[in-house]
Amino acid sequence: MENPKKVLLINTHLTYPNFSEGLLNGSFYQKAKEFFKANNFVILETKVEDGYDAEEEVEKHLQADIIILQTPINWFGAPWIYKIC
Amino acid sequence: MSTTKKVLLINTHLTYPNWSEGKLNDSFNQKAKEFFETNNFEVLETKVEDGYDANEEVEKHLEADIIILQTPINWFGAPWIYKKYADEVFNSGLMSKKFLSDDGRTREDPSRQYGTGGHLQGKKFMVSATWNAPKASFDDVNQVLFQGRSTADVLIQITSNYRFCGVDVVADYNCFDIFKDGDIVGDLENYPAHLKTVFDL
Repeated sequence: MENPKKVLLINTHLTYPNFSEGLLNGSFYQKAKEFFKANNFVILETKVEDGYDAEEEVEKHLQADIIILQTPINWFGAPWIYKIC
Repeated sequence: MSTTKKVLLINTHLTYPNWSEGKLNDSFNQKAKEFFETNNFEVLETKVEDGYDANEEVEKHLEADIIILQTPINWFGAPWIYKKYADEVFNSGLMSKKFLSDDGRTREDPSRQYGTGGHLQGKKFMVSATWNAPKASFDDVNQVLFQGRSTADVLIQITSNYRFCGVDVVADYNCFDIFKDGDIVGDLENYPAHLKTVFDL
């Protein structure tokens, strides 16, 4: 039996209340999720702002065939919570 | 009237106990400090790891003629405490309009480019970095990792913020291959000559 392909979707938007709530990055993220579901992928997900375990993230990267980072550009890079990974 | 020039030295090394204690970055920072003291500059300092107030950092940037970032390269960028520092300090400088008013574009004048809304003209910014990467991995299209890119290309996420605010970015200084074949002693010795050249001192 063929194993389904896996995609890891990482959303690293950082919320600034009343200024950047994450709706735009959430929308692109959702589009990607629907696309990969329609293509019969297993979806692995990480929302950096909600917390993560670094070792678990390593395992998710090892499982994934495709890794996508959804990020706003804040001061010419991903938000600092992304670099903390 | 005081005409003393001022330099802001930012050291953003992040300590990993028993692995990266920060001695190398301290040494470069110290070299720069001695150089500017010898040249009669007033030295302002920030050690990011020890804490800071974002609004005070904005004021230090406004006072400084020259700003130098001393950083280790961790995963191809400054440690995460620096991105937090930059996000907080530049956000503060934007909200107060002390660093910049906007991104430079106006509906009235379409020729005005993105990135021309800064207020910090006349200041100079430089990065001094320590790398595991060897010098040979840069500026060579046959190298798989950087594919011909320069250190300035890799550092552009840092330098763009300053350029966005109107600051001139001068040539970076780099200590390569620090764990193996690098020449740390030589790089420390040659650092003041680089500072003298890029800042016309």
